[in-house]
Amino acid sequence: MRVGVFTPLLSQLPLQVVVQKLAELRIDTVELGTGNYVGDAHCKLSMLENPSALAEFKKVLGDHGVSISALSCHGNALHPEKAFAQRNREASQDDSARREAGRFHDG
Amino acid sequence: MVDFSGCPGDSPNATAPNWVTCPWPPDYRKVLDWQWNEVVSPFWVEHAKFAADHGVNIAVEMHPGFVVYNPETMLRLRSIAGKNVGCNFDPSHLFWQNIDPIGAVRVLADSIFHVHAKDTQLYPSNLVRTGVLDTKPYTEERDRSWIFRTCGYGHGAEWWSELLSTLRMFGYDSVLSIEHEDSLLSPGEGLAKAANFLNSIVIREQAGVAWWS
Repeated sequence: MRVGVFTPLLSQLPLQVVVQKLAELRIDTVELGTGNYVGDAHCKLSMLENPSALAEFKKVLGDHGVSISALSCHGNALHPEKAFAQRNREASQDDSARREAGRFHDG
Repeated sequence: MVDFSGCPGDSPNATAPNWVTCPWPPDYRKVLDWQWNEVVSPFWVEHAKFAADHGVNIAVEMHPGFVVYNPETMLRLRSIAGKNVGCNFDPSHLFWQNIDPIGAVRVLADSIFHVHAKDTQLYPSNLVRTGVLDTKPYTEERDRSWIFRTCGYGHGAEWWSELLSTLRMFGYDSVLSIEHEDSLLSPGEGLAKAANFLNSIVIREQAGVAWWS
């Protein structure tokens, strides 16, 4: 069992600063928002099409020995406004994101 | 991955979600049946399969305002969607529904995939006026019947230690993910207080052999 942090509360800070701040609190596990209500400040799915951004993301985590406990996209995929629901579904169903989730964890 | 169950409207023509909280008048039961049969079940069967095909587990956060808000509805969704759908256990949403979170761990057991560390404080002096269904903004702390708190400020170390012990007893030995939504403490101070509090009680080591048994 270990202590982690769901990072939207630090969304105004870059990931690099977040992991340094968490190290001071003896925390090396993060839960990252990837969209919908919780935002995607520290883990933009667009990284999946941007190898250099993905490499930098993994380096920041790797350099600090930080692991990811979960990717979060709290939304309402069943919202009656179809366009809203569709955006929420895409955030949680993005095919590449799911496949790449494992790669995030490798970082 | 962590998500909500979602909440549909009351019919195909709705424009806003409709969270049903009572069985009567009969309209509410009809809405609830329509939501689960026509929207929730078809979506989640497909959604869970898609995730399973990609090796992903989905941890649904039981949260009022969505069709999955208590252990019963959580287990109902899991029975429909499959074993790769479990829960993101956040005690803060259970306290104010009068659900004992420690007891809920026993009900949910191996369906707990992930845990949020967030506390809730209830205010009996306001509960007599408002009850638990308080729709006032979270920032009206003085008048609300409950608000979210930093771990340790709603319930003390004795309570949280029992929660962690019960989580381990029922097979959850992973992350306690601090979520800050306490309007009385800044995010920085809330995070530091929660981290220090949980670091002092988190159960890090494996139990080992019960040599005395």
